[in-house]
Amino acid sequence: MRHRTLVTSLLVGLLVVAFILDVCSGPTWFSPLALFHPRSTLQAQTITSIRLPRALAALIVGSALAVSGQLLQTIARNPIADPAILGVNSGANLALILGTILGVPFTMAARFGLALLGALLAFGCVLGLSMTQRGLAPLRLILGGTIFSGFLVSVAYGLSLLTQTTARYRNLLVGGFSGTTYDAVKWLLPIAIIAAAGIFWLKNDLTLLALNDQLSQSLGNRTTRTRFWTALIIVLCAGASVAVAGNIAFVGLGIPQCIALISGQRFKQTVGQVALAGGAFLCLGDTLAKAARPPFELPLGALTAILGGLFLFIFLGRGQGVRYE
Amino acid sequence: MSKRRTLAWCAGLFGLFLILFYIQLTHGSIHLTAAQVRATLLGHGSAQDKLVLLQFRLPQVALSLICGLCLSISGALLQVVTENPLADTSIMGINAGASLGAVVFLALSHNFAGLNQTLALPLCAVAGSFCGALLTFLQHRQQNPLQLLLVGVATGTLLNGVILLIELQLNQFDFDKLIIWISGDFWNQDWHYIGVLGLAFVILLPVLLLALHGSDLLALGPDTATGLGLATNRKRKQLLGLAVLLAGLAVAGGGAISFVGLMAPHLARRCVGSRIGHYLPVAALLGVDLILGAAILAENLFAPSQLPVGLVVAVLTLPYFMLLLTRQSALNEL
Repeated sequence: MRHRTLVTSLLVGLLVVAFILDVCSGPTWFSPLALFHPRSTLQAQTITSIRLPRALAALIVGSALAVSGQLLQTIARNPIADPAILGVNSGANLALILGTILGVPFTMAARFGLALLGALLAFGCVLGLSMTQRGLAPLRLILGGTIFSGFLVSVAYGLSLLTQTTARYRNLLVGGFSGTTYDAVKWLLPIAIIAAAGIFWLKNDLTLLALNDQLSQSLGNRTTRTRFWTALIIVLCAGASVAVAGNIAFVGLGIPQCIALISGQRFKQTVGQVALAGGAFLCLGDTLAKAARPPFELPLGALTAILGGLFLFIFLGRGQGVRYE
Repeated sequence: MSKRRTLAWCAGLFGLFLILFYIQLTHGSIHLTAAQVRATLLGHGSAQDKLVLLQFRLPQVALSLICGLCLSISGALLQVVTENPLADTSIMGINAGASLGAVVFLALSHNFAGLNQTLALPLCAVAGSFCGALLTFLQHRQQNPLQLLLVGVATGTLLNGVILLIELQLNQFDFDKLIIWISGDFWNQDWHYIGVLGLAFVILLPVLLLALHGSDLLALGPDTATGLGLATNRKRKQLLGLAVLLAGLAVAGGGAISFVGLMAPHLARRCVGSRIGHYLPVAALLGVDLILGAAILAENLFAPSQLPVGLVVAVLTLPYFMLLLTRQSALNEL
């Protein structure tokens, strides 16, 4: 218990530091004091209308992605599940491309609607494919998801090639938070709240799900129902993240694993820490993307993809923790 | 019995190849009649027909032939070596490695203007494919087929991240070029180039036939195979090296075309049984037909705009793969 409080408070501290760093960083660094007493109106405006919404979005998206990764790993009972691997992100991407081609106005509302719809359809397909009479087959989920995701990427690319919108396609690939406004935060916040409420409601069932299905059921858990609602929460979180920040890998995969190393595997006790760590990580990542090579920005999507690949590689190389059946 | 069935399938697939060959030569944005094709091939067609046939359509057929053969044989070998029916160049990190090689070359080519692109790009790609395969197989120490698959996915993710990072630094022109390369297309239809690739394949062919001797025993498991007098590890290494070489050739010809190596051997095994001597020719012909068919579709489906061949191949083959995954039997094989 004391260990848990300590870790949580450390993570809260990290999150605050990361958030402040993200707000202060940019083409020109501001001192943290400027947050409270801006030296000029320009500085004040920059902070409130550019950097603050951006940092807020990074924080929410990071938490949402990390938690959705943990949820996915819980229902799939497999530590290498990640929304970015399982076709959720590519479904959302495909929907965004289709929307662009069909001439849907590129407002925040339309983007969220499209991304959520695409994520829902893609994840529905992947889940449907990996269902057997005995329930969800974790291995099928991973392999089928990877392949299906590749399929969606091909279709998206083919469409953008045929309609000569590869420049748009490229922008979707970049991923990141440049140009994020309060509009995005306004959409992200309710989704995050809904997801948090859902997780709170399901938290006991999800903790039990870590046991095997039979045991879990005999303890009064309706596993199919739990999985269904959890899948919806995952789609909500991942779809919203893609709508704001494009394809961001690693967070859903690595953060829950790292937290599991520190605080163990029990869902109920770690989900808060995972959310904190995810938010902190993405704030730091955004800071790095902004500050590494000013005035250019590094593509956050690519950075996290490399990190995610490396992590997966090391994880599998240690040859432990992967449950095959 | 099974031999006769193999022959029948080979004949049928060859017939299909001839039909596709004919369609490919006659159809396209300029339609040619059979008489025109015949006249041009015999050497007295009009200048335009000559250009269309000899510079555009025949090279495509030749490249389909090389890529189809290489990819399906390489896939079949990988499946034998890893004892895993789902192995494919695109899953084992080989394609991603090749793409990375090409990306690195394109990103650096502005610095070395003197480099000969037709020679250096495929060389980089082949080197990359070796690196990708090496990464996957070094990481894979346990002889667990499933873990190999997952390590392949991990390698692919890692390499694709690096590719993304580099390709986003390119300008829009290079980006388009690159992404076509990554989706798989016959990007260089120069006859000299095709000649080099064909020659390499012809050199590899007898080596392949020699290496195949005894490889059926591998399917019995390492213990039984060793007991029957096969140097299991050496045979594995031989076949693996050949598979990567062939995949590299295919990548040099057609970019990162995926899933042919998965689907063709699989279908072939279903048709003529699981002796490698029987299903390999069927698989090779299937692969050629598949790629040639995809090339025809890519050119004519959305004319006048063209799609990369690899994209059409992916859209054609992926449903089959998904079907395979959803069947209980396929997973029990793992």
